[in-house]
Amino acid sequence: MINLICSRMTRPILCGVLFVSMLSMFPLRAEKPEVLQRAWQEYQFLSMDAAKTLFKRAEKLDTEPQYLLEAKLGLAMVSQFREQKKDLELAEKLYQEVLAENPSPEIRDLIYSFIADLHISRGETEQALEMLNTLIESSLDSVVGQDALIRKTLLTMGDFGSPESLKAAQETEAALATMNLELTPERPYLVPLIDSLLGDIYFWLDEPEKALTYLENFTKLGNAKTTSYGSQAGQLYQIASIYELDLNQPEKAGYYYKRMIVEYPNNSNSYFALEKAIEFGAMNRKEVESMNLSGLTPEIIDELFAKAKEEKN
Amino acid sequence: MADKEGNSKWINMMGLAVLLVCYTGAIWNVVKAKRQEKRAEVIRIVHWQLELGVRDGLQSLIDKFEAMKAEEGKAVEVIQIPMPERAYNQYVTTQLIGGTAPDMIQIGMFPMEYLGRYFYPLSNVLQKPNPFLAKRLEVLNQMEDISEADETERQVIETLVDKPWMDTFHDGLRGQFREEFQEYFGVGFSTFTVRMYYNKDLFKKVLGHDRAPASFDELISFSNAIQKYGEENELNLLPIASSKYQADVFRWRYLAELTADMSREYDLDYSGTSDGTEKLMAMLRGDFTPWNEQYKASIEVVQEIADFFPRGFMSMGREDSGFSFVQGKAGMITSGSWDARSYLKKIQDQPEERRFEVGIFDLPSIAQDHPEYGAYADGRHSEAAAGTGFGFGITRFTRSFDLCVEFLQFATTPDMNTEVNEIAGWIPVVHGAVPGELLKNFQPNFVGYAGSTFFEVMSGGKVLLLEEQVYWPLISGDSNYEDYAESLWEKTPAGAASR
Repeated sequence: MINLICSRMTRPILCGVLFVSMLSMFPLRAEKPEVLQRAWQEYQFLSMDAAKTLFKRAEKLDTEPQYLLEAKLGLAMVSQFREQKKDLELAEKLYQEVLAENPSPEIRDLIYSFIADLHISRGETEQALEMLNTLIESSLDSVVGQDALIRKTLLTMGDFGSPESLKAAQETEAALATMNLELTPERPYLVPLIDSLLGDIYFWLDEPEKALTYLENFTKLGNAKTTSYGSQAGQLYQIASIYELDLNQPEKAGYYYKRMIVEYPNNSNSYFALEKAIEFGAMNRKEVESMNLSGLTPEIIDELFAKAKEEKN
Repeated sequence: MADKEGNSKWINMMGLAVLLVCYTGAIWNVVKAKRQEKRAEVIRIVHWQLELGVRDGLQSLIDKFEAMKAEEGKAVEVIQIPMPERAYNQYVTTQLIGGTAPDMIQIGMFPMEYLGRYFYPLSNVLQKPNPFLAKRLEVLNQMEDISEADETERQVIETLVDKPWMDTFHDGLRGQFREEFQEYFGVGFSTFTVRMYYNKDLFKKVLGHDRAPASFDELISFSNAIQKYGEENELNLLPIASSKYQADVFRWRYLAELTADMSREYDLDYSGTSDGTEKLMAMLRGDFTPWNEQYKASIEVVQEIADFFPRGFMSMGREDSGFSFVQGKAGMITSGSWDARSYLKKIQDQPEERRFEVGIFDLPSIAQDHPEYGAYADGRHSEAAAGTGFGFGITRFTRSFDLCVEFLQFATTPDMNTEVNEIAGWIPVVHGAVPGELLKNFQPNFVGYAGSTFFEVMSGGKVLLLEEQVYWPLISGDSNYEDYAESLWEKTPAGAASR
């Protein structure tokens, strides 16, 4: 999940979505020129040559200065995020030109985020960190600021289980504590992703209780719609396993195995979770039967409960 | 000399004539397409499912959709383009790059990067209710003499009508979710599982009953009996029709049955299965080697079954073994639900005396009290994540995005999903859609475990390739286990170190 934020394939699309959605917060008087709309559409489909042509045409239009600036930004993003024929120098030059025009704080933050990406692609870690820190300090209550926090953690943490990872996690926790947002499952921002990352760091540092704090947060704040079905099911399985295998707390493990099977039954591990939930006394026969799971015959249910009884004795 | 010149003139003329015919054909196609577009709003849908019944199922859906739009006063034409599997990738790639792709394309067979470049993400529309459910509910509510089946459908639709479209699928449409994009690009019509088909008439003749094997040992003993019967009566009779394609089904199924618990044992990050790195660590610890008894047992099971395959099964095609079965020359064959309709039709097309009744059963699990393999038996492989297949995406070249969405919504109401799958002989995926009688044995089975342990470090990487090079000679009886194990173990480090 975390990798998706940084992957070669999704990063340009993600940046495009962020940028376009940011712009929609500031409606202008004149309707956006069609050529500019088409340019963004081509950009989203990663047809960078077509997008470049259209952004260039948009730059020459007689329209609101904001749209001209947007076209320039589009050109910079094409130069930076295209798969081939990247021109990072041109992208940086265009970003600086836009910054010189004093854009809104939201657009400025996005440009900082793109410049940080640019430094990362050139291997300029120090400069990238400087830019990410600026974003974290000024805009942690926004998605762009939280994205910067995740990227900074990934950039500094080294291997899982390393002392650097502990330091990175502590810095991330300190930053999270300064956040001033009302988070809800409907609007979780990127916090479930940060929780998942911190949970994994502490898991590999052999600190299961601390890992659980964050992993449980992930399943409370996130849901299938905001963080995907697969990642929710996977995280519930991980939590249940930590309670069962690392902390020897079968009751808690049973609770999470049950949640996994009830909330995410279309999962390859769900039968195993059902078996465990029964074994740990988290589900009774009536609850199991009411799920009407295909292939789960009364004989298999009998066997599962008999096995659980045997284990108990 | 004059002859040569004459020949050359003829060749030139013929070349010109071929060019002219192609040119006229192309013009004719363009004119036809333009005329169609003038008459009605045209959308095109392309897929590679040439199995019997699928085109008919889809066409029936198309006819109903066009009729429904005509009732609304709108002329719509949906053109189905079936494309052979081998040409599909090439066709789709050419059309997408050329900007002339059909409006809807079956997802698969082409690189998944295309989704981001050429397809509309559908997550937004999938999170809103399917409006055709409300329309269907209205129709059902107005029925005076409602049948039991319609009443059941009405009750199901009542629970779905306000839900997001994606939640009306059995798997929440998970099968169409692309994690790399965090988006849904397709809407699926069917799901698929693999079972065994058997010749009931032959079973009766040979075994005195037409009961399916209930255990792995019965699968072996029934196969033995069929083989013996064939030899005694000098009949060209196969216990199990198989090519490499079918042998692969046995391979993965029994590998999962016998090594799923190893996969959980090696799983260090508690993800539920072990990935390449975790397997590599198990190899380095010496826990997972080709001499691991449990892993060895999973291969011996397939070797035991392979004794009943035809000689030279490795060089046979999937269709060849299918032919043997439908011609009554084999007792059993394993294949997916996608072949059900084709097999039955081919059997029916034979002269009456050669027709036979077909039974379907799940590959029998290895019982925990099995004398040789029981100690390693974990249980069957779960199909809980069978997912939604036969999915269609909408391309960016469409001029009728809304109409395409409407078509997909129309196709995935319980009644339409039942109908298309009933005709295709496939398994429906929408809540409330009912599988045909034949398909009931193919319903995905939730019971079972995930994961299996085999020699693969990087997904699709060199270790698996090296393993396959020694696996198939072993299964076809051209080498022995010690040679297999030694060769694999010797090559694994270099394989793991390369891409």
